[in-house]
Amino acid sequence: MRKSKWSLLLTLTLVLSMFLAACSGGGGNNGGSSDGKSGDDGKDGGNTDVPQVLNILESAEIPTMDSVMGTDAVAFQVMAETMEGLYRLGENMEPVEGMAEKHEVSKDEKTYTFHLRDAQWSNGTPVTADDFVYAWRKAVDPDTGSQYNFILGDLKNANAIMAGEMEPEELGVEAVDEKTLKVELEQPVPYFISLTTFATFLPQNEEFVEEQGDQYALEDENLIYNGPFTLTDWKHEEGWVLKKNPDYWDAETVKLDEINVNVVKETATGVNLYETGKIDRVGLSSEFVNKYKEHEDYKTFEEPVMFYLKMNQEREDLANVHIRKAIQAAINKEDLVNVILNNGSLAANYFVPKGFVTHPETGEDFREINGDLIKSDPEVAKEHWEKGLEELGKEEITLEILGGDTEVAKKMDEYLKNQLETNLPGLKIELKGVPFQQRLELDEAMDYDLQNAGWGPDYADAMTFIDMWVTDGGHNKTGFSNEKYDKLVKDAKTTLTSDPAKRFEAMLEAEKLLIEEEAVLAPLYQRARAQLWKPYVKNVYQNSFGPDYSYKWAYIEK
Amino acid sequence: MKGYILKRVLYMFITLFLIASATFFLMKIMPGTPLSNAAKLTAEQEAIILEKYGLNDPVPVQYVKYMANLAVGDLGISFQYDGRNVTSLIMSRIGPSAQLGLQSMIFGSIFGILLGIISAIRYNTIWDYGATFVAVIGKSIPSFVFAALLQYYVGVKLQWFPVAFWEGWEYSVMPTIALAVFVVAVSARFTRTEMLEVMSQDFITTARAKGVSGFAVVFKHGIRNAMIPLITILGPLAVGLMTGTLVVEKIFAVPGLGEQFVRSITTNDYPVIMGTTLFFSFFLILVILIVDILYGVIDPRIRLAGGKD
Repeated sequence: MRKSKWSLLLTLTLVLSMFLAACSGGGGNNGGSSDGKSGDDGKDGGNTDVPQVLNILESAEIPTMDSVMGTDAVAFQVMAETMEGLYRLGENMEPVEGMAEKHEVSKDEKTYTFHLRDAQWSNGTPVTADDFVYAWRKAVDPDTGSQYNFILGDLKNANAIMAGEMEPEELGVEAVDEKTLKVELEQPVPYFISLTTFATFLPQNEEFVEEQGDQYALEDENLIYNGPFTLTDWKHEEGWVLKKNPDYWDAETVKLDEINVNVVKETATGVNLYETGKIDRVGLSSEFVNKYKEHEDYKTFEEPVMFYLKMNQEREDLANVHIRKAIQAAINKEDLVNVILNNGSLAANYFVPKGFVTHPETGEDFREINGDLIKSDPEVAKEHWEKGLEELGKEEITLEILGGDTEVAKKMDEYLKNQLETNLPGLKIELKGVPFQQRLELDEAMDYDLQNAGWGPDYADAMTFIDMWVTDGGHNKTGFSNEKYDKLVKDAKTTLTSDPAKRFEAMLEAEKLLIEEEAVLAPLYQRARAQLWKPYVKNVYQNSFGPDYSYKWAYIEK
Repeated sequence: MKGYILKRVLYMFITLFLIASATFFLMKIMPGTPLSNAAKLTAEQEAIILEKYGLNDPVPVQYVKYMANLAVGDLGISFQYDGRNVTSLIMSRIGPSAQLGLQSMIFGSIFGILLGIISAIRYNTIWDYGATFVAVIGKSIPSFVFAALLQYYVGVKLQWFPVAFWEGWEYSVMPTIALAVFVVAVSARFTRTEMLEVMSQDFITTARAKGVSGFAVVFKHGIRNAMIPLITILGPLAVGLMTGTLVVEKIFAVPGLGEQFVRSITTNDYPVIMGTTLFFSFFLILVILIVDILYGVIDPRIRLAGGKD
C-alpha cells in the first residue's frame, strides 16, 4: 500500500514533466516581441521621449494589398497608411495634399490637370504620372477582376472598358509629362477630388508590378510604398507592423514610429487585451457597452452608415403608399437603438446620414436642413394602416421580413415584428434570417416583402445615398420608380454641377420625396461604433468613408 | 500486412475522391457569391467578374476542371485573399493548429489516463469521485467556455499567461489547456473502465498471489493491458480536437487552420473550402489508418482478424 502511494507521486511527476516538455518544445513561432514599447527612446520623430508606438487590432487579415483589388475596411486602412494617391483624407475628411501639389479644373469641369510633387517609392524610383495611368487602366480592365472599379466610372470611357467594349488604353487618363496627369471625365463630378483619396485611385509602379508578376502584393517585400508608413513583418492571419517611412515626402509630420496591428476576431478577446494594456483601442459590441458605458475611455463615433427596411413595391400590399407609411410610423426606433443596439447608434427618420455632408454655401449639415422626415407614432401609423387596408379591401396582411442571421440581426427582427404586429392590427409578420450573401441574392431577385438592409457611402457626397433609388437602379430593387425623382437626380448629375447650392437643394428635395412622400424605405437607424481609446492616443482622425482612420497626424502623449 | 495497408491506402483515395465530389456540389448549392463586394455591385458588374473567374460555366464543367487540377495537386487560388495560392495558405496555417492539437493530445491523454488510474485503483473513494467529477465537467462543458474562463481569470485577473496572440510557447499554454480538457475527460473515463476490468481479471489476482508489488501490478500488468483499447479512441479524439480548435483558435487569436475553414465557408471562398475540407479529411482518414495499423501491431489477435479481411 505504501508503495502504491509512491507510484502515484511518481506518475504525477512524470506527467507534469511531460507536460512541460511538450510546452517548451513547441514554441516555434517566436516573431517580434508583442510589446513594442521598448527602444526607440532617443528618436526625435515624436514630440516627447515617449515611444511613439501605437498598438491596435484588426478583425481580419489583409485580404489584398493590390490597391485595385481592395474592397474592405482592413485593406483600405493599410493601403491608406502605406500608399498615397493624388490626395489624402485629412481632418474632418477634407482632402489634403498627397502626391498632387495642386490641380486645375477646366471650364466645363470635365478635365482635371494634376501637378505631382517630387516623391519616391520606397525602392527609390520616383512616383510619376505614369504610375497613376497604369494603376487606373489596370483597375478598369475586366481581366483584372476588380470589384471596386465602378468608383472610376466617371472617367471617360470607363464604363465601356469595364464592360469589355473598349480597350483600357482608351480610359480618360493621360500622363502629359512625368509630373503632370490629365484626367477627363464623362460629366462634371463635383466631388472628384474626394474620390481621388479612395484606394482604387492609388498609383502603382508598372515596372515593379510587372517584375513581381503574380507574386505582386502577396507579401510585404513584394510591394513598394509611397505613403507615411511602410508595411513590415506581415504575418498572415496574425498581424503586421506599419513602420514610419523615412522617404515619405512629408515624413516630418508623421510622429508615430510604429503601428503594431494584431488580428483578433473575438470582441471579448480584444476587451481582455485592452484591460491588460496590450492594445490602445478596442471596438465594443453591444453586449460590452453596458459594462463600459461609464468608463472614461468610452467613446462613440457616428458612422454615415444607414439601416432601413426596404419595401418591395412589386408586392400588392406594399404597392400601397399608406401601408408603407404605416410601417414607417409603427416602429419605435428609440428603443431599438437604446436597448437592442446600445452602442450610440441614432434612431433615424431620414436616409442621408447626420454629419456626412454640408451645404456648400451655408455649411449647414444636410440633416439639419431636412430634419426628421417622418415620425414614430402609433396613432399616425394606425390611421395610414386603416386607410391602406380599406383601399386594398383587406382585413389582414401577412408580410415577411428578410434579415440577417447574426444574433443582433435576429434580435432586431424580432423586435420589428413585435412593433409592427402590435401597432398595426391585422398584420402578421414572418421572419426569415439568412446569411449576408444569400440576402444579397434574394434582393437581386426582388424575392422579399420587407428587407432589413444597410448602405454605406463610397464618396463624400449625398449622391452616394440618393442615386441608387432611380428607376431600375442597380441597387434600387424596390420597384420604386418616380419621374420627378429621376429628374432631380439627373439634374444634380448634369445641369446643376456648376451650381453646388442648387445641386445640394435638388438632393434635399429628392430625399424628401424618397422618405416623406413616397415612403420607399422605413429608415431604422444610423450606425455608430462604440470604442475604448487609451487617453494618451492623440489626433487619430476617424473617417466616414474610405479608410476608417487617418494615422498620419497621430501621436502618443503620456 | 503490406497488402492490407496498400488496400487501405487505395480506399483512402477513393474516400477522398468521394468527399471532394460531394463537397464540390454541396458548396455550389450554397447560396451567395464569393465576391467580397457583392453588396455594392450591380448584377451586370457581378457577371463580368464571375466570368473572369470561370464561375459562369455550368457546374459540371467547373467540377471537371477542378478535379483535373486537383489530380495534379493544384488546389487553385483563393478568392478572399486575392491571388494567394490555397496550398501555401493551408501550409502556413497548419503549424499552430498542429502544435495545439498535439500538445493538448499529449497533455490531455497523460493527465486523463492518470486520473483514470487513480479512479480505478481508488475505486469508490473520494479520489474516484473527484476524478469522475473532473471528467464529467470536462466532457460536458465545451472547450470554448473553458477558453473564455481561462482567458479572463488566468489571463486578465491573474496575468499568469498572455491573453492572446501567438508569439512563443507561453502563448500556447491556455489554448492547450482549454482544448485538453475534453481529452482529459474522455481518456479518464475510458481508462477507469478498462482498468477496472483488467484489474478484476484472473492474471492480476495471480500476480498479486505471487507477491508482486502493488506498483508492478498496476503498471506492468494493469495499465499495459488497459492501454490497448485506449488507442481506438485516438481517432474520435482527434475529431473532437479539430472541432474544438475552430473556436479556441478564434478566442486566443491563434493564426491556425480551424478559423480559416469557417471563414472560407461564410465568404464562399470555393477553392479554400475545398482545400481545407480535403486537408481535414485526409488528416482524419490518415489518423484512422494509423490507429488501425497500430492496433494490429500491438494486439496480434486483431492483426490476424485484419489479415483475413
